[in-house]
Amino acid sequence: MSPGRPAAVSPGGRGRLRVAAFTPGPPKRSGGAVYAGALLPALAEHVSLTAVSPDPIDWDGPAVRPDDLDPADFDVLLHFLADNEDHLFAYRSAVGLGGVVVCHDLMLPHLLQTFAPEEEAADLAAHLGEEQAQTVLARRRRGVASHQEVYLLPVVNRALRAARGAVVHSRYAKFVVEAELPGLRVDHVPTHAGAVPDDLPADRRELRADLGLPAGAFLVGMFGYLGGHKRVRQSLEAVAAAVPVARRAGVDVRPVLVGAEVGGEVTAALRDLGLDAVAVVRGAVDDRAFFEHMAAVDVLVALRYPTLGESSATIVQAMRLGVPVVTTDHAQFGEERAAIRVAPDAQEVDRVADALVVLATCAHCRSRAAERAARRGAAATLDATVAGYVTALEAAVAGSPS
Amino acid sequence: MASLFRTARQHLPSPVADFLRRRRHEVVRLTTGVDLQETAARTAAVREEVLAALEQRTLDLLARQDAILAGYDRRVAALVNRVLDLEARLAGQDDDAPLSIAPHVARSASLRSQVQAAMEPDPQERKLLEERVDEHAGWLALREPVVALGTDGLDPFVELARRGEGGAGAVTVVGLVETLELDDVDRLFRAVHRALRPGGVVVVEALYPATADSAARFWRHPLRVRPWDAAALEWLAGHAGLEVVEVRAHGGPDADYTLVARRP
Repeated sequence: MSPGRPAAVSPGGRGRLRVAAFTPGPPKRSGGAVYAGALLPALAEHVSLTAVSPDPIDWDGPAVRPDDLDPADFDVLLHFLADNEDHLFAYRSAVGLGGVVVCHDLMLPHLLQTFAPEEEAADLAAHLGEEQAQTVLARRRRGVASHQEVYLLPVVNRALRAARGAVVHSRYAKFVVEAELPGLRVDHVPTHAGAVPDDLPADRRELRADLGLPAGAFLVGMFGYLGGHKRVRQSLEAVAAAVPVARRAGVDVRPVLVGAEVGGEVTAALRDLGLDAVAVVRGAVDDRAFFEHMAAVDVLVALRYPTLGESSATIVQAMRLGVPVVTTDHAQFGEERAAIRVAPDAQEVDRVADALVVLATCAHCRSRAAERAARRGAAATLDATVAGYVTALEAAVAGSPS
Repeated sequence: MASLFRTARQHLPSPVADFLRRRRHEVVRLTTGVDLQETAARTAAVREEVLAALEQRTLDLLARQDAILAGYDRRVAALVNRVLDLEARLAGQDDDAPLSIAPHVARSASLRSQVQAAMEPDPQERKLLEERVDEHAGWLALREPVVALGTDGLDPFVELARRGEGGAGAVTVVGLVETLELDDVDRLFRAVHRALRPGGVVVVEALYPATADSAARFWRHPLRVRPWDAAALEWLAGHAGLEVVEVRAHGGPDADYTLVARRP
């Protein structure tokens, strides 16, 4: 057990707090599954934890399937929600059983529209009223609705409305939820970098040699599911703009893309921008290789607009590795003061390109940015995250407001 | 015209009605000069154009709607962040200024590391520093973990920041301060202070050449920018919150020294 904090106690002093955690986990590779893989063992040191999932989870503690669970056996149910198919069962259990809801994403449009349209319709009705909800759905059926609308029309889902408490990963998300649901206790528990291995080689040159990455180049990394609102094209346009400028200062800038491509955006953008000859594209890799590549790059570009209210574990993980980050100055991403933030406006590409050129050509600037990033990453400990969860769970059981 | 044909079909014998139905277009063209097939084709084409124009207009309107909503979305989000920043500042939680990097063109990092890799360290100087580092054992005993900072290519600030607050028992700094200007020495001591746990020590080996030979050896190193006087380094350490425990001169013709400071 981690020193310092006693185990959370069940009401009536019956021993440790009994918690059922509805979440996907390893070997699944989604962000929520990787997050849970690091969190569950650490949280289990403070509470009596049972994992609930329709698929087997790679962890040492007790696990049950949702259909085999008796809620009466637990003091509090903890449901992890994300806009990903793996979390549909957690969403349904949150709506049906209540408890504490963890919002990896504040909105779930892709999950519900694709896999549970009837749930989405019910959410819309709860948020807008039946008549307006039917109007929105009718417009979508007739094709008179843009894709952006799901981001710009935030809908508070029924899982949150039915919850005893909520956990979010940014102060911005806390503000949004509290504004929509004033009576709900919302705990801000920052994302942890616990998934980053401790034993990565410290020497970046050695790491690059092992990975077959160019030793002397300035490597611009983009990681995760690459497409959609991650602004892949804009990021690569910025890299393309930075390449000739940095070359005049004797620096070879190259993009490194690690993760699954969504919608063919990466391939198309690299070809259109003439970067396909210099880019390193690794596709989906295992966790160890993912972090090795992250440690080997000189900067992470992680632009997001619009957003679903999510926080990026990738950003915190890169900072833990001392890698400077360029991200979007908007909503919860604008909270990352240790990152270089760029507004998602007409000058976005130019500003990102400028930032890349400065980092590539100014050792002092790069060192400062890396130092700030490393400091921020060092603070994103699993212990701090677990402490936040225990506080939220204890408060939900006690029924106390925030 | 359609009603005329319907009337004809109702009242004329079937073979005649069939003939009229099959030859309707020809009959109309002969009697009126209007080509119904051509008219139908033109009507269909116009309908397609109207539908396409309507669809495009709808898409344009949606795009405008999105742009307007996105504008509001960004403004509201920026306002919310300002309010939250202000709340944090009022609550005394706002330690760190936002990171900004000003455009600055300097020597490229690749050139720096290439030159450093290409130049062999002076063997006499290296031997001297190694002997002095051996004497650090007394200060470092029982003070794990020890962070060793030098000019071996690993960024010292990132190394210290990775340890987090109070994550180091001791820090050694060998052959490094001579490569740093004033701002960076100040930054280094402050980063060391953050990284050391209370009671932890930093041991700095500093070179201060006072003879022609040692000065020539000193300036051979391509990354050196200046030697640091003991009094200046002592002041900077104190300014960063470190308590200077000892400044030990190494004797001999040069003014090299070891500075030991601790985090109170």
